[in-house]
Amino acid sequence: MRTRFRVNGTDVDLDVEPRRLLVSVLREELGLTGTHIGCDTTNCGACTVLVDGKAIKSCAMLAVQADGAEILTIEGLSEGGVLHPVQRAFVEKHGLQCGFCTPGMIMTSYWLLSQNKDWNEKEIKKQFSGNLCRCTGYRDIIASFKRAKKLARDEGGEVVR
Amino acid sequence: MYPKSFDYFSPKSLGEALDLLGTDPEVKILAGGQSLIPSLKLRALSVKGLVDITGIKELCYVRQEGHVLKIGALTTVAFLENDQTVTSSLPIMREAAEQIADPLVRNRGTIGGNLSHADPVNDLPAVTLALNSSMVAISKQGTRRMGGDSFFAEASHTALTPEEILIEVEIPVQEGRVGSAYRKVRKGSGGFSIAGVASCLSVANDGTIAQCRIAMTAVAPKVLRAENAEQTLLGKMPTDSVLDRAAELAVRASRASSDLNASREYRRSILHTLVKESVSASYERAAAQ
Repeated sequence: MRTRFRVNGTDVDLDVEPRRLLVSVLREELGLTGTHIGCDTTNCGACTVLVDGKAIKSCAMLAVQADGAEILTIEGLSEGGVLHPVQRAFVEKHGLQCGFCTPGMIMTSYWLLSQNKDWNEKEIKKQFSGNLCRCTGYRDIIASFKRAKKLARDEGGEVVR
Repeated sequence: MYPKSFDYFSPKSLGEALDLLGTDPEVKILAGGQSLIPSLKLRALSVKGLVDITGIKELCYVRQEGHVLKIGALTTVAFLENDQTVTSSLPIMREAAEQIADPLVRNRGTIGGNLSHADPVNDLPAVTLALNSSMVAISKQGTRRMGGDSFFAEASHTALTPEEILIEVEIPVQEGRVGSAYRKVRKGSGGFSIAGVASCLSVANDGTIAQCRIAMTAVAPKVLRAENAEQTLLGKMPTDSVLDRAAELAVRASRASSDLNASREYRRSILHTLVKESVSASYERAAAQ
């Protein structure tokens, strides 16, 4: 089935079998392997991407459903080799151990920052409840998110492009 | 894992969608897909075709008309959690919405899907049932309204026919000393409900409970009213012994079973506590009006 959408600013036009999931098309057809498949059962959030500005699990969405959508994956965050403030924050605060969940954690962080809300610690943790880290590195992930918020503010730039 | 192959349709209007339905019972409606797609992937379910209604933008709305809050079937759970109209008139809705799965799932999951899927662990059936809501369905024959008692007909099945689409939920918003609340316990963050209790009640001038509806999640093969518990609360103040009695009756009405998430005994014990907490919270909200 003919499916057209925009990924990280580039238009794509594909012939996709309806049963294929968005995550597999991103990875296998478009080579965007930064989006990971962890559990493949809509639990872990390693496959988190933004569809029309909202963070979703791309293993629970058919690729054909993305027709006409604007998609942002982890590959779309850096610009000209310069890391996005959210990515820099994860580096600075060691918001990763094995790194498998990291693309999902970063995309969720990006989406949360785009909402420009002031959450307290408990609320931030709740917002990350769809992303699992099996290294149990949550403390540094939350610290990275807070750091990203500060970086975005200090630099006065728009977090969300 | 990939689902089995199926045909995919993405109608842009209700008329187009209705044309695609009803010819084959193995053609199902796809909304947010947060239960359906995982089930297809696990091959717990297979379909010949999916009619993806998410392109029908006219089914995504919340509006208050008089004393009725009307919610379009494609309204996402995330929207219910954050929308001012919903959360100011029905705090129970936010309470239930923010406890469903996780924020990423809530960005796609819809109220219509949560209700139509009618899984006994889904939370919104109990909420709509406690709030005495009506489900509005459309087919080529016209529209019909169903109360929760008839809509949630049997385990994991609604009264919807294969030709019908759930388009709207109508929730009565009563004025005066009315309050509602949802309490649940789930297995881990983002996990399924072990038990949940939605309640809605009104308080008379003398402080006694005048009206009451209680509905329970995950303690039977389908969402269940606790009618004996409702009856016992009428005309009484919610003292600890009255609440205990109501909780006992609710537990007796339940048909809780053991599964991977909880044993039957644990579920019943959690249910007892949740009935008391939910009714107390509803009462406090009503009395504060």
